[in-house]
Amino acid sequence: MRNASTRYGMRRRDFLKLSGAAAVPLVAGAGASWAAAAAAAPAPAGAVRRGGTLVGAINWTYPSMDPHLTTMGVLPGYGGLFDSLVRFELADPKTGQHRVVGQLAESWEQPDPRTYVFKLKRGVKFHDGSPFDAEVARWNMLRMRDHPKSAKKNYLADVESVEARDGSTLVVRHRAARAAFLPILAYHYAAKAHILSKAAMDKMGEEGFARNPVGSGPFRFKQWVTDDRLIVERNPNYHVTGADGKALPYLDGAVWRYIPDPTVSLVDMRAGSLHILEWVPTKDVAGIKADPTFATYDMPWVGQVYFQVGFNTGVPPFNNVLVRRAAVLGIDREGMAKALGFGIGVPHYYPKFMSGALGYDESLPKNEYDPAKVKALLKEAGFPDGVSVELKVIAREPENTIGEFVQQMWTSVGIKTKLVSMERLSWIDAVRAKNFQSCFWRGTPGGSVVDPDIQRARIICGGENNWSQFCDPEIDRLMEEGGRTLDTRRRREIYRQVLALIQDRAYLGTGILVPLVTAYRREVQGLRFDLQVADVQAVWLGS
Amino acid sequence: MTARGGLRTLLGGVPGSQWGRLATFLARVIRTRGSLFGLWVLALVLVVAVTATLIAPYNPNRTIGAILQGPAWSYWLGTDHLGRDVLSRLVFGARVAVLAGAVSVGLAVALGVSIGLVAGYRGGWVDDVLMRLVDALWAFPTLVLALAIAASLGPGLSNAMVAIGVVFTPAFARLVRGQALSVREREFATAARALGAGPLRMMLRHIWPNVLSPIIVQSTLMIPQAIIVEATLSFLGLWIEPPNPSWGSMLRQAYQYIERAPWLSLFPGAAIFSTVLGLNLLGDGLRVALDVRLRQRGTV
Amino acid sequence: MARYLARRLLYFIPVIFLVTVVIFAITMLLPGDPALAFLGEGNIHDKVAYETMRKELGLDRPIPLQYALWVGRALRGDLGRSVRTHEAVLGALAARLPVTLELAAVALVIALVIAIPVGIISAARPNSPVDTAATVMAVSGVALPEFFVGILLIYLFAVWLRVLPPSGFVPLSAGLGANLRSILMPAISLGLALNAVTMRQARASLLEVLQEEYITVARAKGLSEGAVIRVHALKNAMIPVITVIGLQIGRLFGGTVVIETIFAFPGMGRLAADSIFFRDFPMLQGVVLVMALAVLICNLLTDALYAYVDPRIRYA
Repeated sequence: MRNASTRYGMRRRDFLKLSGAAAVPLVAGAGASWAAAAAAAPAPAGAVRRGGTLVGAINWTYPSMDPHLTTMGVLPGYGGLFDSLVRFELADPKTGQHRVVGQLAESWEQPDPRTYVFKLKRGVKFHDGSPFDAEVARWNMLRMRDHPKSAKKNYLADVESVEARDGSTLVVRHRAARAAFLPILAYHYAAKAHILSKAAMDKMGEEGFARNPVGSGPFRFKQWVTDDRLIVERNPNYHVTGADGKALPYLDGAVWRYIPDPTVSLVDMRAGSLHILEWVPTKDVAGIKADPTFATYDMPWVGQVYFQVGFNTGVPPFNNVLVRRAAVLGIDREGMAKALGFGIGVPHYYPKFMSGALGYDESLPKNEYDPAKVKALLKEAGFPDGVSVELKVIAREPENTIGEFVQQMWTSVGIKTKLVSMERLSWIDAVRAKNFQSCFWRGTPGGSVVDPDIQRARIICGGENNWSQFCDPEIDRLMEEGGRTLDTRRRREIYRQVLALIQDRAYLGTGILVPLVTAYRREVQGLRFDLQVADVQAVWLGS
Repeated sequence: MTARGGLRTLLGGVPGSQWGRLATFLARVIRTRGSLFGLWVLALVLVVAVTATLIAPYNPNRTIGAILQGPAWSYWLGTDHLGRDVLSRLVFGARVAVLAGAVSVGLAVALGVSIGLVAGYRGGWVDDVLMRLVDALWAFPTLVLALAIAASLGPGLSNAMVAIGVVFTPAFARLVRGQALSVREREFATAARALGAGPLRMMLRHIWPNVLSPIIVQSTLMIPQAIIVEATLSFLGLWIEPPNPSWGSMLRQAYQYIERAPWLSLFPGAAIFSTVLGLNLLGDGLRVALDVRLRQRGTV
Repeated sequence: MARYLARRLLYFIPVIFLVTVVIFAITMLLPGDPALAFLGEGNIHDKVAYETMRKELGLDRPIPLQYALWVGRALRGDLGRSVRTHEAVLGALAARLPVTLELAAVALVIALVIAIPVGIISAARPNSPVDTAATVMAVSGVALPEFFVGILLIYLFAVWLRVLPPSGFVPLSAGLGANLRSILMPAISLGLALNAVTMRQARASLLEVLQEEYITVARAKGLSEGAVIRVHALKNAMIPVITVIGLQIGRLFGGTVVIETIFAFPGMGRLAADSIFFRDFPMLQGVVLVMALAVLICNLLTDALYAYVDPRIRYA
């Protein structure tokens, strides 16, 4: 099946006809309120202003300029330097629904369930002048799959072969059908397919490239002061044209500053020395929204789940499903929302899944707060006087505050909790070594809305992001099947079952969902988001 | 010789009873400007720390109201970011302040004095090795060393106190060693040795009394430093056993809410500020008072 | 003089080696597997990669051998590669040392320029209101943790008055004015402790010197108080001040950890803290070594200055 492609990807009707189940789910991304100011419509010619340097603050340091080898590919800055094969685009501002569109891949088709054929964009050059073609694309894909330090290889383990044909065609074949392939390639938290210049890598070597990146993005690398800032400048040969007929970007350059302390980054914002603050701390969201100098953007399909608790099913007391259920029923979400949510947090009942995800079903038991039932369950499990447990947490904010709240919360229903606050790496070590009774962390269930298959690594036995390491062969089997099936209805049923199992066997518990908010000054126009990463290629600075 | 004996030596020469001597001594201390304030602060903090369970209106770790409330009738100093009573937390925090200060400085004194006495008295290569070790510790940027030790031992108040104690040891070691060296050279020491006095007797009878006053002064000045370092360690992420309050971690948490609830920082900040200020001024007074005593006795 | 300095240098060399031993001991004590840290959280289950990494980092060798190898390489100028950012340790240190040095130097200058004159005035009028005010202000500088003072200053100067940038280091290459403006608040915050100690030491030692007999003689000779202080008392009074400043260098560098975190400066202090939290052992060893060396060099300079001012010391 072949069909026409538009400049930025196929028309939705055709897209859906083609890949059916591989489409991004149609259910609206609920829960996230909408405030996408100037994000959607392109500006009329004549209104854009060229020039200026954008200054943004990020809250994590760049570990390397090679986005394949780092899990921090979600930081803005990489998106400026590198184009990727596919990306997300806002389809409907009212519902927050996104779809996958092409960037360096203009269109694609699936001749059979296991195979994807990409038509690549022609005439694209990297910053070092070398051309982008199918060979380079192939090299990039294989690197992401095969490089020992690649952060994406787990998502691409199923890729059997990658073939380059006639210079601008890329054929990717999987071992078995893979429903979530496209969203995985577009999702920053999965295997975002950033495209690097092979010529540059060959010339500089890996270590050199990690400090002198070369991509094909709207901005060229200028300087990276480790732990301080990334400075990029305009790429005059960018292959996308702006509203005024000349090449994007409108900006002269951008500076991404790492400010370690979130309180200080907020002060920087207030003092006017930043244009954009990537993540506003939850407690300050209300204050920023009330300030007319700033506009905000609630990131869709992404929230932070405060308090995802995992139980060690191998040791008492949580080897007993009754005790686990009791603990989950002891989570006072309303109280949590009031104490920690600062007006924007909402109760979240289903671990790993978020409203809008395939399989999300609110008719499934919510395991809501019920102190009486907690007592009954504990009694049934053989703990009539309550049970003492240890809860391990990483020693940083807001985890510590959440932990203190949970400790009070559980203790008051009979689960006497001792909070053990550990340094990040010590926590990771302890948890991996299964040296814990219960532990919790913050996470985002947004992947489930993009495609539930993205959550696989967090749910299966031995999954690398399955921190509490619960192991349920039935869930594994279902997740495997869900990843291979292309029929949406069947998949919905499968994932619904997974969720039901998680709820019934109480492997995990969740607290509240807090939306992630970006703040930016009102004069920043044309800001777009590649799902949850700021995309500044079409930004111009108004007055 | 006992501690009391040491104190007697300190106060020696003043006629009157034990308490009379103490009173005279204190009078001398508060002649220095500000020492009286320091004395009051110390007394207040000690009293609060000891009677914490009696005077705190609520359980410091229990939510009693809405979050981030300002001072009100039911909670005099307001509530913190989890709705706990700030006053109760402040009161229990005094306990931690006293403990942190006393234990960490106590550890530093114990270690430092032992090292210094041995080094100063023995002299020779023992002195060389020990002092080089002390110098090596001293060459480390203070906070980095404390951070590294605390990270090695794991979070928790006791570990933080050990880390701070180790970091403060060189100061005391140097102090004691200097005194020990100078005493060793004196004629009466040579005489005593000739009479068969063993090293222990030498250390206790002759060196210790001279060393006591600088140690007291130094301790008074280092206890407030310990409080500040504890606050800084919790800022850097070595949490001190949540949810138990310490002034330092209270300030660190309040610092995040400085925009929303600036008053939250006021109370732990004021507590730390006045304690540090008071103890420093008290230390000044002690230094002057003890110095005068020593001068009068002619041992310097 | 040269012989004295040579003797002091000889004294310091074993200290440096002891420092390296202590650093190594600490990194061994830190819990956490550096190989895992290097691989990153996403690759923990890859046994082959893990074993390769252990070999690459030399973790499979006995500890004394690891130490010897590290020292050997360090002497040749190779401090290894950062586990966290993969840059050469020496290169990273070279980039970040100037930032911290400038910060410490400005803090020192501020302390000298403010604390010593204030201390002198205090000593000239002991127990007067001026004296009390000065003492209280000096001590206030150490009465609050640096992170808190920092944020207060930022709110005051950057948000309220809008005269200084709230955070971020502007290198000299971008202009002296911008550089100084970015460094002013952090340097003030950093120097507060030094200020306090210096001022009080200046006051205390000047007071003590003013009790000496030769001062009484000078006064009896009819010299004005100002002349007495300037001509006779000051030089001798400054000796303990120099010593005390030298002793505080370690604390000054320690303070850079917090100040650089608050003000987002890419300096050594923050690097040390990050290295501890990320178990970046090669970097940690390099950073602490350089910082300790800096402290020792400062001590050497202080000793030299001390010996210059007080000739008796040279012959001790």
